[in-house]
Amino acid sequence: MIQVLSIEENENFITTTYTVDGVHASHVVTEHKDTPVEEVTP
Amino acid sequence: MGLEVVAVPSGGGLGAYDYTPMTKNGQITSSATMGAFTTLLSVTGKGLLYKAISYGQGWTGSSLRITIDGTVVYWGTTSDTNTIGLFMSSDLWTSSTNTYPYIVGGASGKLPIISNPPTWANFPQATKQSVSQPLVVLNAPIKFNSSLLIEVCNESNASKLIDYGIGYSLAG
Repeated sequence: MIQVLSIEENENFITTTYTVDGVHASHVVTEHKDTPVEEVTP
Repeated sequence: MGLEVVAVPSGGGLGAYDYTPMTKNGQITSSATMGAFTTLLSVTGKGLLYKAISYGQGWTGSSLRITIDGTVVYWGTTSDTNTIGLFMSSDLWTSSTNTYPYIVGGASGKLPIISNPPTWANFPQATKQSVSQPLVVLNAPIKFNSSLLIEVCNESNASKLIDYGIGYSLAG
């Protein structure tokens, strides 16, 4: 089971700390904030 | 330990892996400095990687680099707008009205096209691959034991929009 422990945000990134299978703060995921998506023609 | 893929049991599924699929699809504005990587996703912990694809807008090219447990396993460059990266064979989709296949799940759920035709890259590849469309098709996800890092960069000295799609999961 995956549970969110905390979410932190700065200018460019969002960092989420997860507890997986009951292990405290076992995973940290940092994602870049997106630029608003524009239409793309393949 | 070297690169590991997860054996898919004959009955399907991922066996003992209790996983929750996670996706990160979107679009970023790259650095204006050629070759300066921007981190799309960084994970510390254990998990599985299913897909990491990108396609830059415009014709000046872009690169995608994937690092598993501290080792670069994919570093692809395209000189145009073609999709690059790695994805599961189950992500391939072909329209009945278009002979080109698509990859399921790009930015905002768009379906990036595979065109012209693709050049299938060797894998793993620790150094930059400058072929026209370096793509890797996975039959099973890749396991990471401690970290996953996915980055993109522009191949010219001007910022550009880079679309991407990432599929992964965290494992206990």
